[in-house]
Amino acid sequence: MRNKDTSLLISNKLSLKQGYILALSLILIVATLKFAAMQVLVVRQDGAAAVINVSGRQRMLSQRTAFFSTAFMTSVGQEARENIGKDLLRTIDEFEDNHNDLIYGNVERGLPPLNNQTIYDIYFTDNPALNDLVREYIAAARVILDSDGQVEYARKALQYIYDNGPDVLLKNLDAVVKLHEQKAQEDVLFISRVQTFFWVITLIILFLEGWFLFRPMERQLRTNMAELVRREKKIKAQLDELERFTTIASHDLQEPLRKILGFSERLSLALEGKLDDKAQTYMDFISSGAHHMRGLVHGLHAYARIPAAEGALEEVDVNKVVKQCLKLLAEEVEASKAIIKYQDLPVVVYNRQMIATVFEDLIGNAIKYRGAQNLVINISACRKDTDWIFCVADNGIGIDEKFFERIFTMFQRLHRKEDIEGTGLGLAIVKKIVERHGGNVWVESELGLGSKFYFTVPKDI
Amino acid sequence: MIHVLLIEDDEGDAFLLKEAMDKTQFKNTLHHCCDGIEAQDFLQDDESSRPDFILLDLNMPRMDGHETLKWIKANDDLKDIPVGILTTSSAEEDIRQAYKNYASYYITKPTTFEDLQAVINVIDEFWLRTVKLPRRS
Repeated sequence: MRNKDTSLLISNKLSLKQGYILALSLILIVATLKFAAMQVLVVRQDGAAAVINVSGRQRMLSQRTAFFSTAFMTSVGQEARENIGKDLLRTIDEFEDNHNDLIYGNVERGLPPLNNQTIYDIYFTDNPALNDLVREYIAAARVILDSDGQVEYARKALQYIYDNGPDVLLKNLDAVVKLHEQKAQEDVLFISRVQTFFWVITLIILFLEGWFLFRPMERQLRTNMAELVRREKKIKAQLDELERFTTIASHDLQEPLRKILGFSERLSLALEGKLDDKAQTYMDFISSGAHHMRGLVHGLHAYARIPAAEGALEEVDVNKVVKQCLKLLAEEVEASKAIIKYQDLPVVVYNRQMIATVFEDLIGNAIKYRGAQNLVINISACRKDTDWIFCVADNGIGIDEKFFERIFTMFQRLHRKEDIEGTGLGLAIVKKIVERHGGNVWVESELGLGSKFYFTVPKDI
Repeated sequence: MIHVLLIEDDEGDAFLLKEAMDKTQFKNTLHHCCDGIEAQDFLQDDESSRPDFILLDLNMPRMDGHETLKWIKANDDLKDIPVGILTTSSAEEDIRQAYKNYASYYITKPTTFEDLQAVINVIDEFWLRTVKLPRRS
């Protein structure tokens, strides 16, 4: 058996999926069985109704035969006799057809053949047998027809009809009808019992399912939910602690750092001119190391503070932000003789401080990683559905495509410290800020031609 | 005369290591390359002398230590030069990967100069004097 995640188990033997499949299958089976049973029974009832109808009609037809026989014999005139003769013939024929159909069945009329012992006995075994009675009755009626009104010819037959018609025949026909009705009632009762039976079975199955399947299922789900909530709380607590830790650590690191930087500067000044080459090299290494560390600590501090400052969103005019950044980077812009173009940038909902950081870093990078030709930086924005896509494009040294993802990782640098200064944190911070506001950041670039840094600002943050 | 190649991107660390090696007892020439790319150029250059031992840093821009190590060990001419990893990282994954790629030695950079000297002495004692390695003529 495959190893299953315990959260999906009802018991050791049954998984959640197997459980509800089993539950649904059982109900389906019961419903289908009941449906099938009912179909069969209903069809039987149809047959029973037809039988009752026809056998009831036989009673009427038997009396009608007697009536028309009398009318036939007492009719005056050829024409009258012919007319009544037709009625009599029709009646006899129907009587006979019905009698045959009741015994042997007729598919077109929906009549089943005899299948009840008691009724069979009435027709064939009793004394007198109804079948014999009926056949003789019909034969007598036909004799009367043949007689064409001649009394002598028809006398016996007529007598037979008078003797049996309203009496024995009718009684037997009645008995048959009653028996059919009784049987039909019994069948209805049977159907009712079958219904009750299935109802009870369904109740039992539902109860069993509820107790053995759904209760454990629900309990398992509740346990799973509780576990998820617990884990989420735990993770959140750990994240909070991590953020606090990073903030405090980067904060506490600044104090000894200030001492090192401060005093090495003082030392440098104090020993100016008094150091040999080697000692001077040592001093330089100390200074540059301390400065580098300061950059890192500041970067870490900024990175750690990003989630905490999430709440302060406002409407920010990006044009103003870019203007501010350029003022901040005035020295670098001057030194690089960069031409920076931007126009009609939109107003977005963002944390003012953070979007300034993003642009500072992206523009700063464009200046830092410039190439030989005159640096041109283009800052633009375009709309995609409801989001804004910002782009900072430069014509600098570009980036090899295999590094497109790496550069956004903390401390990943592509150049030596000596060639281009940097702490490797800038883009990691940009990424964190952009993603915190629900956007994405990516780069398109070609070595030697320049880079385009894109980031999105969604409409709803 | 032992030739040692140091592949290290940080100027300060390179400087300190050179000082530590100068203070040890064995005669050596130390050549310094700043990253994997420079090292490749140096090692492939016929003019330069083949190093007897390579000290390799892991965190370098452009081509990092792991990639450089793999490249050295894949090169028929160079694969039997012992390579010692000298890095700030004490991450298990780095150690595992280094040995997997046939590094001979893994040292976490010590913080004090004294400790650095001790490390250099060990390297000197074992790898450069005691262990006899087949050399290509």
